[in-house]
Amino acid sequence: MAMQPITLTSGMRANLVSLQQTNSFMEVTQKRLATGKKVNSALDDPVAYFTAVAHEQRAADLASRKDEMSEAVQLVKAADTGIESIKTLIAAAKSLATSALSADTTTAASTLASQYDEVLNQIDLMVADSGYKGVNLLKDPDDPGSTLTVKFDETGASNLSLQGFDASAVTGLSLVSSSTSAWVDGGAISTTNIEAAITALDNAMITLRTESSKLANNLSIITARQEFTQGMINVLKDGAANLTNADMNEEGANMLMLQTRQALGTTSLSLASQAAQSVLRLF
Amino acid sequence: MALKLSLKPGERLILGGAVVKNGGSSSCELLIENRVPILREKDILTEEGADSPCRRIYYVIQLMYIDEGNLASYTRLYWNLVHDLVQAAPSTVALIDAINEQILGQRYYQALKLTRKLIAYEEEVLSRVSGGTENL
Repeated sequence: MAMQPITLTSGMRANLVSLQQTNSFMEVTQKRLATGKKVNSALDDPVAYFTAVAHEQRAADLASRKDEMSEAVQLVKAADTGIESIKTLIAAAKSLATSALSADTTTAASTLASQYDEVLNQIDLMVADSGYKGVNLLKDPDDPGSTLTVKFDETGASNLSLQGFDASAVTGLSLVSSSTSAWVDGGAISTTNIEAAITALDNAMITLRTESSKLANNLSIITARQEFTQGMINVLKDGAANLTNADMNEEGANMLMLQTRQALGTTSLSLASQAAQSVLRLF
Repeated sequence: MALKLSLKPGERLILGGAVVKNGGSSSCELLIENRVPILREKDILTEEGADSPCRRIYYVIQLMYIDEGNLASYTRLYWNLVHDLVQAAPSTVALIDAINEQILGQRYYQALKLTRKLIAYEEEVLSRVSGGTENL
């Protein structure tokens, strides 16, 4: 049987050539390493040693910053849990007020009013319990314990200030208690006062949603920074660990191998977004 | 304070997501009055041009700068590239650290400037071993 001729498409041939080149590259760099022909090292040992120590220290500094960021995440989560519970309480207060609007007797309305006041009281208790390690983002912003500055680098130059907002029922969320604006007034149910209370509750809900989305935004910033800091710590540790044995010859060879490996496509760069791609293609 | 840029005929630049070209026959001057990502033609590296470990890092930081919306995916790629580089050449760690510091502070332009130093350093390191490979 006649042998079928083997033909390579131009794409395959290009691949083959690049593979052959890789092999030659590697052979050459390995030979250079094996012969150990010493090129003057740009780093003499004491310098490398102290540089390594400095990087390790920096990694340690950053690690403590990262712990602070984790604490800040906990704080934001505590505040967010508080907000969610307050929202539930407000919904409960609203249903009490709505029931009072359609109450048959003034006695029934009065009972609902006192239950409503109790719910407002619970909101304040919830606010007081939403702190984490002495900071409470739901307290009056003038209160010193209501802000936290999260530092992202060891100098603290890069930071994010978490500012609290007052979520207490009357002073913060402007809810109206039935003791200041009575639901039963002059022997009759005061629909005006009850409706005003409902409007205040609706507004409070809007405020809480806004604050909640601010918190979510801050949370994502802190999380992103946390990941970045972890990356920095890893790189500093990697670098420091290898720095003392660094040899410019070896580094050159390693770098060449890395370049070749990347050229073969193990690390793809093709993830630029469509928008960024279309911009860069113009150059 | 506005930033003053001069653009030669036919020269392009990226200005806050737009590619601006001087279509006239003489140089023109632009005043940029707010803070937007600006990248001049000579500083732009294309994907094809990103053919070495440090150039790839430059390319990714460039994407962070002009396309901040997709920062998360670029950051992931950045760490992969940086990790590989520091493994291969630990002496780059000082420069990498300085670049990280700039990225952390969202000063991508400064990060790019430092990365240019990194690319120069890489060329120096590679030149030590390229003697035996340049004929390939």
